[in-house]
Amino acid sequence: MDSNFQTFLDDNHRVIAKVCRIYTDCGDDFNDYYQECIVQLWRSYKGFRGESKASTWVYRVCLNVCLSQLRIRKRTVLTTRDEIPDVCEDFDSEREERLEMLYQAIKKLKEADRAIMLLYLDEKSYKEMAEILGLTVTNVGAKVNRVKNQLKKIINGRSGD
Amino acid sequence: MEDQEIKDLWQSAGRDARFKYSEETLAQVISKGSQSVVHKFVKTLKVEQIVNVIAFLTWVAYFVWFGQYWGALGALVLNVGFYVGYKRFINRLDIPNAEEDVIGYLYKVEGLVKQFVGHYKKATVVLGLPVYLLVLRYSEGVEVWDKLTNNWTYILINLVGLVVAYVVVLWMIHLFYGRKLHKIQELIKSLQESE
Repeated sequence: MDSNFQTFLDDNHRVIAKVCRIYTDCGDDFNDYYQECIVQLWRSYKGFRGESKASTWVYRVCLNVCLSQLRIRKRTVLTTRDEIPDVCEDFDSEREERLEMLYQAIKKLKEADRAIMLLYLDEKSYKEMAEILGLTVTNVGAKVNRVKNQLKKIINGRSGD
Repeated sequence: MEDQEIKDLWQSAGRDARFKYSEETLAQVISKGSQSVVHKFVKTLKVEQIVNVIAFLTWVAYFVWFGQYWGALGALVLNVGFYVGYKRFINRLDIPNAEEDVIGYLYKVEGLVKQFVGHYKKATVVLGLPVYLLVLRYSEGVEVWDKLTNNWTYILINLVGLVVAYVVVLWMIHLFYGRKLHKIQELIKSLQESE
């Protein structure tokens, strides 16, 4: 195993886990997506020429895996409890509880809109978002505004329950 | 919650976390390879290609054994035809590269699923009749075979049965892959919609 790839995953695993988390619940599905993302990243790792930022590339690969959703279920390599990414750990503080609520709110958005929200929350510029998604910058801007408002409505509606 | 509050909360997720897979687990994940249906398509076609070669060679051997050399030649020509056809189809399949932008990738996946579904529909139509006749000939015996070439009522009943079987198989193919295709198309539409 290329140790550079391990370091690369160490630098980017939060992105992988977050993308997988907004498209699945923690469980077998999450593991399927997470491991498929790793495989796809590995396949193109050596060919990555740095024409775009590494993070842009990671978002693209992971969103493509999760959005296309054409995977076989439950074929993952079994992992130990210690290997489960942090985004799937049980929440034991108020912050983690609120974070879980945020994940649930994002999951109420349409699948395509979750991708927009993820990139927005991770503070990607409209230009980068357009590059990742293959949309125009203008269209991204309009979508961000709409999805942002939608998410706020879901969150505020929920906290008012 | 306000915008900035949501962003801060989001960015706090797993801030100090490390990649947790052991070297061994990571090696296992990578060696297992892609489990996506996209990659399974190509694997399935390669298996089909091998099964076809074995089936046709068995057929050739059968004809040779009974001294039916024209039959053997015909089976051999069909074998080569199928082999080349499959090889070309596999080479033509453009496996999308996951590094492409999302819209580009989804378009390619859509194209791939369409080609794959088209392949199965064509194969069902082309192979359905000979398989049906072969099964009838060898499971029901010579009398049934005679009726099939002389008795119009019997021919009609079998034709209806064959058409129903075609419809069921094509519907199942549509049910299995059509829904996936539809979902991909919906995603593309939803991403490209102007606000």
